[in-house]
Amino acid sequence: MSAPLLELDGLTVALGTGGVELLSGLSLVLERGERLGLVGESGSGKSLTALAIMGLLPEQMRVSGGLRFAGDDLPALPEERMRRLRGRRIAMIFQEPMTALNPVMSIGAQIAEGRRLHLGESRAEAEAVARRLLDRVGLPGPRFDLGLYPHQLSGGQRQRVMIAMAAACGPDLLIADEPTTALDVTVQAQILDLLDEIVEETGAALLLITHDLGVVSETADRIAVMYAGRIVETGATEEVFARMAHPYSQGLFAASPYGLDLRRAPGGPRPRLKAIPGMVPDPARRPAHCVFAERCGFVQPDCLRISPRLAPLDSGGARWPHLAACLHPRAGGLAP
Amino acid sequence: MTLEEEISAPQRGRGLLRAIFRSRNLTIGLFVLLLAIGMAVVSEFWTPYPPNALRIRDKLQGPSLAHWFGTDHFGRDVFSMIMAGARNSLEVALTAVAVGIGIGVPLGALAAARGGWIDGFVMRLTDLAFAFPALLTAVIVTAIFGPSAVNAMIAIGIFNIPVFARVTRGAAMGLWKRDYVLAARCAGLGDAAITWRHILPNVNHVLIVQATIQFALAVVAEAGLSYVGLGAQPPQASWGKMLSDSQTYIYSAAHLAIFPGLAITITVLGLNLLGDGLRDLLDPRVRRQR
Amino acid sequence: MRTAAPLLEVRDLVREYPLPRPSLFAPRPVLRAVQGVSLTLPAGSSLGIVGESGCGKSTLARCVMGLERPQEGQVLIDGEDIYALSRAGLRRARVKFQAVFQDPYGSLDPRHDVRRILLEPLASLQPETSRAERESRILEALEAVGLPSAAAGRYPHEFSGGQRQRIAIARALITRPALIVADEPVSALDVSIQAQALNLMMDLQERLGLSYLFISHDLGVVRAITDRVAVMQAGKIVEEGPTQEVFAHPRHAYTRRLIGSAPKPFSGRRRRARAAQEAPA
Repeated sequence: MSAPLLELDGLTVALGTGGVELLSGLSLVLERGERLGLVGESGSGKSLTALAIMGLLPEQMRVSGGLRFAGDDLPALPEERMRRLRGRRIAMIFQEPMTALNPVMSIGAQIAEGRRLHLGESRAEAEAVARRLLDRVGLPGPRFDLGLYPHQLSGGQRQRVMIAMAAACGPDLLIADEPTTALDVTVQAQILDLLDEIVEETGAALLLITHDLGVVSETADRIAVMYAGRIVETGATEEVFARMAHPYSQGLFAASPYGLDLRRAPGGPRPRLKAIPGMVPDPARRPAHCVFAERCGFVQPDCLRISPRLAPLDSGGARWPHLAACLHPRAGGLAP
Repeated sequence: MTLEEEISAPQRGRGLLRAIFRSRNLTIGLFVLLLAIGMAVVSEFWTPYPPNALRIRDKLQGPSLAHWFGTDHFGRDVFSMIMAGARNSLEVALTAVAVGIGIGVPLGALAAARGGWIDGFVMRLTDLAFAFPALLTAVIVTAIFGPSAVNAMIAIGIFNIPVFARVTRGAAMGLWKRDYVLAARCAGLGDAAITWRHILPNVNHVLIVQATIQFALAVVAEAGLSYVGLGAQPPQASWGKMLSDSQTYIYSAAHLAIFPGLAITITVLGLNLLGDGLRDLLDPRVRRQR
Repeated sequence: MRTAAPLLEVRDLVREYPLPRPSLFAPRPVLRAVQGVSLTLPAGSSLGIVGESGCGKSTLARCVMGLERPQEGQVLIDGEDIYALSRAGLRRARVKFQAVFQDPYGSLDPRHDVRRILLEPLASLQPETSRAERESRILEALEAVGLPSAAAGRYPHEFSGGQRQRIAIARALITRPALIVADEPVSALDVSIQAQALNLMMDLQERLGLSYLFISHDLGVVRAITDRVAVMQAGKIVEEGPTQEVFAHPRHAYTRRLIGSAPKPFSGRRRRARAAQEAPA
């Protein structure tokens, strides 16, 4: 049995030696060909998780717990070997294609760069591949020449270039951090489709980081909901959406305008969104008990004493067990 | 913590003094500046010897207990002259920076507020000023109005105008695109009121840092003008003039060059450290981190 | 309700921007950001403007806010064309309409405390108010948006994004306006905080009888808070109607495409692709 492609086993990231925990005991396994959606609000730690996998955390952050990629212990890997993984086997797509692309380098050179660096190809070879990649992501020549610069492209086109760059070396893991947040909805749909197809064709694993429940629902096979540096619920996408066992998952859905029932008595007041009261706790002030207890509508006395661990909700046997970190998981069915 | 508690909770560590002393640059820079100002102020009332008293008998003495920094070729006390020269240097530099700020900042703010041809006009004007060699203009000014400390102030001040105009415009341009400027427009404020209330307070940290740098440059420029005889005129004491007078004696009485030279170097270094320290202290990105 | 004229009426609005000349002697091309838009907003109701980036919705908002003079057309507030008014007249009229902007970090001057931020429109537009009146208005506005009175002495950086947006709403309320023009007011907020802000805006509307011109790219948000919606594309309104009606039975192809493209939970994988293909080009 070979090691899983990506395995987080109690991954914890703390700030400095004093140890304000930003990520607390993240565990998940990702195999090639799988699409995992990491959902959460700002401050949940979802982007930090991506940086930890890429080995790009700021210096003052300490990593503990297991973080393995194809059997290699990533935090222990020398920077030299980490650099060979980045871009070659793990590639990342960022939210803002305008700042993630180098404005003074042509798009062809940027796409070819990875292949020349990692695969030792000549300029001509790498640019031939870059041409094919651009055609593949929907930017055909001669209209989209390799010599174009990022500012000559629209936001959606730039994001296509980013995807071509990420796919250039045939990575095993693609990390997409809010890849469509800066884009218009109609463009977003096209970019998500493209991402989906690239993953399909290359057989890479996709780690999709987003705050948008709709985006994960349509793109990911399974999801992990993050809150305050923890995974609070995870499982196959349909199962998580069908049950939403953790009150935070429910709250997140109910607070979004999707969760709003617009039926309204004539002349009656407009229906309100189900806002989650309060704010995400500051990492330095996270309680020792359940981190969501203070904002939870179903809080029980023991929630204020115990910090729940991720526990299976079903009898097992499923490919991806449905887990929730809640002492009193909801039985199922959403409020609306 | 509830919202109420959080908002009424006391703030942590905002003591300005503590922030100043945490930065070594700032502490040293501030100390040097205060020392120079102190010397200049005290020299108004008291110096060990009258700085202009000629005592040929005591000429060209090395440093001693009686004359800490020695005496010059007229037997004047070098320490007293340095003290009096501090006043001259600071006065000229301060006025020159004030001229630069007084004219440059409004020009830059106007260019940023109005844009269009006004902006273009102001910027071409600063280009023109930058294109002239500084010393040449100083020579022209003094040739027209005669050499004096006042004319040195004007000459140096003219060169500070485009510097402050550019810095102000550059910093203000970005601010005009902020939403709080739009909000101020919705509150019915005009360009002048917005500049006064929202733009200048948000560029002043840049200006303060620039001012310390220009101040240091002005001290050097004043010394340079006095050195070539276009600045302070006798009997006014000036560091630059002391340096030029010391030339003849550089081998026989090196202290005549060393002490005014050190005075200039330490003042300029101190002001640069102050500028660096202020940049760190006032940078909103650093300061606003919680 | 009081008068026959609607609170806000936009008539055939055109706003163009000159672009740089492509060559020295070529004529200056013109970007027609808003091309003949007409709208009506009755008092006490809310009208949403949806569209994608570059459709002209923010330009339209700035024209209604009295910040950009249109080349053609009129913006009537309480029957008064705000661009036909004198400077002083426009200031008097501004009491009736205020604005909330998208970026809760950029819309508050970092150097001003909350009291000064709230006081600015009041001191500028209603200089006749007494000191005591101003103090009570500040407290009233803070209370309306659910912030404690202690917030008045604090600076913007001491607040979270959601709280800052409350401050921005308080600033818009302080002159007791009838109309609030909100340009993407909740787009920068997290979902749970966004819900709080939207609920607050609905509460305020019912309590104070406010009207909103609500500009957003987010269909879900617009659906939640508006009575009527106008869909903008390339500077023109392509469809306008009661919000529920437009969302349930979109008539224009572009509206259908917008609604079809928006990802929705529960829809399952790859539904999106079909929705996008269904749309005629």
